[in-house]
Amino acid sequence: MPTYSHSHSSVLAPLVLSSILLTACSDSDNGPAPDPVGDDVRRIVLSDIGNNIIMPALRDFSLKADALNQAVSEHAQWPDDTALRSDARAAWRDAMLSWQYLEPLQVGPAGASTGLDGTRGGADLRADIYAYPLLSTCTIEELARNDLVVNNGSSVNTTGLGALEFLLYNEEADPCALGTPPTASQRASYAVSAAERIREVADDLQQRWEPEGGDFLGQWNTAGDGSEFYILPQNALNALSVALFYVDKQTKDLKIASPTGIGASGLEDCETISCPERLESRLFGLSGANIRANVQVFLDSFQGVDGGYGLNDLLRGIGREDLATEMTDELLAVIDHIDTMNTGFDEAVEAIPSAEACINGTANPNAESPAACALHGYLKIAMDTFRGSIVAVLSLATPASTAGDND
Amino acid sequence: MTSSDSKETAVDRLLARISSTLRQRLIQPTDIAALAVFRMLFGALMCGGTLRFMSNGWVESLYIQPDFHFKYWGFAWVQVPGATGLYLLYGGIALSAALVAIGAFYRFAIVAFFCLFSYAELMDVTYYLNHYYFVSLLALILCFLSPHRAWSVDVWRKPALKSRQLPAWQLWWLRFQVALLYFYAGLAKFEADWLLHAQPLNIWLPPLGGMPVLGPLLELPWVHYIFSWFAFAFDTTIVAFLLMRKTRILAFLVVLVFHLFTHLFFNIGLFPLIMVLAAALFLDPDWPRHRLRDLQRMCRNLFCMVGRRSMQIPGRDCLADATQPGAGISPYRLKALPTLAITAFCLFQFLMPLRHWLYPGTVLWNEQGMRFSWKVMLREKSGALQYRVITHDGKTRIITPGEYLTEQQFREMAGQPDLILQLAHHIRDDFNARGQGPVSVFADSMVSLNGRATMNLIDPSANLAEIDDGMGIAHWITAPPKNTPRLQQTLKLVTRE
Repeated sequence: MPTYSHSHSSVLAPLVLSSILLTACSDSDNGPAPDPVGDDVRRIVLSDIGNNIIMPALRDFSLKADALNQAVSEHAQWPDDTALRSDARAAWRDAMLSWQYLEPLQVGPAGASTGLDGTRGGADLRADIYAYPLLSTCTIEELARNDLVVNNGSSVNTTGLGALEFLLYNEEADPCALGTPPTASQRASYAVSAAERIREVADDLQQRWEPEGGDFLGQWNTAGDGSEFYILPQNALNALSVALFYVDKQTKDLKIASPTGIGASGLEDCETISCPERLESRLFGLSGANIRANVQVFLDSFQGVDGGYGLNDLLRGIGREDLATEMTDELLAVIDHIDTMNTGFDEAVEAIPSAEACINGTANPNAESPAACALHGYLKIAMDTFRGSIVAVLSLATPASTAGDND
Repeated sequence: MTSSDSKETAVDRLLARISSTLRQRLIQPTDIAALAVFRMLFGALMCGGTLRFMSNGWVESLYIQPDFHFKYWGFAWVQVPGATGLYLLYGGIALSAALVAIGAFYRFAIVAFFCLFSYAELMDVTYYLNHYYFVSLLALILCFLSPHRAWSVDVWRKPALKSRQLPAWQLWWLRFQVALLYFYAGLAKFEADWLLHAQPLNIWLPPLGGMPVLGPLLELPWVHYIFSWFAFAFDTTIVAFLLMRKTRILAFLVVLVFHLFTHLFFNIGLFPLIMVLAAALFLDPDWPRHRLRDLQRMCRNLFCMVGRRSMQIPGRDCLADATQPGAGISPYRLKALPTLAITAFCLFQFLMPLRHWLYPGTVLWNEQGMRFSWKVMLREKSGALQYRVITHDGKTRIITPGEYLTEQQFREMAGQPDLILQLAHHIRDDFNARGQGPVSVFADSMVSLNGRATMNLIDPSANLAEIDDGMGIAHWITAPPKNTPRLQQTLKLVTRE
């Protein structure tokens, strides 16, 4: 338990005074600016992540959501036109991949406003864009059949990118055995309302971050230096850390472990060796690309982009180059594995030869292992380093860490 | 008479004298004021703390949301009630604490508080906190004391209850418990990580670098060393300085400053307030009367200034000194059985924190003897964990704790071997219940202690399904890391190539 004691005040007071005076002197000095240390370094890292990663990604998604809205609207005018449908699907794919890059960055307005997972500045916007794993396709079918549409109050499991995937890619005439399923036109109309809602929320989210709008970017970049949301830079880093745990809890455990049949004791056993029905983007077969985007943004936040700084610079800055290198290598191994898989992740899940081979594959991932299981293994190695070492060394927060006290 | 006989007689005489002196000291009438104020503030603090706990939604997140709760060894019978029961439980804690504060139905209230609070703490070992345990102990001791015999509703209801004094042992019992906490908290810091490597303060303090005034200092490793050594010195010596009349006031001021900073630096809830309150027990027993008298004087001066000299300040009677040391024979006696029981309690409290010496390795790693031992804020442990379950047909399943636990439970249990074992048993029972047993359960637990590289905490070849929890040496826990933790330098920007 640390403290400054009364008896030490005589020693510390001159030190504090000296540092204040030194600071004052250096402000009026015209010499070279001192090398940044401490919180200045943290702010530099935060600014680079905000300016070079979060903001461009938000702008990109906003554009993609706009394009998606246009494509889906055009498709709705001629629902039987396969070319227009193909355009709408392509637009959805672009928007989805763009969003998957943003999924693990649920800091600020995209994040939850309340609860243990609540984040400062949270405005609950994420779920209106993509509510995975929540999706109720049969409710969507019923709503579409009754000519109902998505609006501000719609349940999150009936809207967003997940709903659009179902509406654009489902080939079954009556997947929910309604007897009288919605017509193609009704589905297309529902899709228009869903796409419009995504566009609205995407625009809202971007504007809340834009310096000319809500300027959450300004709050982020000035953490500990005037930011009303983040009194210390560490608060913003903690928010980022909690957000990045998405890759551990959602990407690794939900998107990979569950469909590959690794673990998932809480779920009913699959009838087959693996559980492809649990894949994230089963209809389009995009699950592997989603995973890649999730890992890519983790890697980018860690090592920085466009010459900017990232979390690994915080490790280097305290002399833990070893951890910085270890984590970077492990994340690159995940990306490399995805890029070199012979098939997509969806096909790789279906190709798992046996549960035993999969378990061995995740325990000792290598080129001979079932690819989907090896992916779990590679990602687990990286996430264990993050959870076990980096969080401790940088004193970062983990999810739900606001519950309760310590001692 | 032989020389050995005379020696024995001398020793007997010395022991008899010590015993007699001690006995006289313990039954000496002591002003009740300090204990009465302690009762009021303790009750108010516990009431406020419980309301805070409820208003933060922690009843929901810590007890209602999780499907599984870790049990204390020997207390598996303590069950978590449903939502209504939980809110009634915490409502009961707050109410009983309020009654203790105002001294209404004191004996019933403090016993109820102790039982309800302790029950709440026993519901899930994941949320064990030293200061919760300390509160339980203080409440238990208060069950046998009579601080409600002054400045209480009970006295107002039954004036015959009123007393200006209590036997000194009542105050000293509480002081003993407080002293133990500080002493063992200090002793726990007498180890290499804390003193030689400034860990974990070297990890915890730099992120607070943005704090006003002191912030920049918190980034500096030498400051972490100073804090580590000072905390060690503070904990081990503060009680001695509080006991000495000459240094008492200064020591109490140091206590105030120390706990102010622990409050600013760490998320430790009510701990600083409880410890300041507990330290006040070392002040003169009549200190509240003096402070009231000062207040009275201030009021009188104020009234004089506004020309209301004739106004009477109420409560004069309660401000008179109650203690007259050495004046006559004490009206109190020590009865054999209660004295024996209290002595046994104190001895148990003295020995309990030492039990970790019975286990090989360091308690920071194996955690055997960690709880109930005043090892406060001593280590930074984080880790990753998964279980391998081999079912009866030879199939291997991988289970992540997240399938059974909330993230907070996971974070707390990942570095505590007995909890890892407990969850392994739960997984075993779960598989058995689903007809997939008997199963073997193995843990892959990679843990970092005070910033060291992660390593296995649990022997990965140990079938935890077959290992019983208990007080014995846990051979399934790996040997502690041999390497020393790395000292982290002040964060600076390393220019990229």
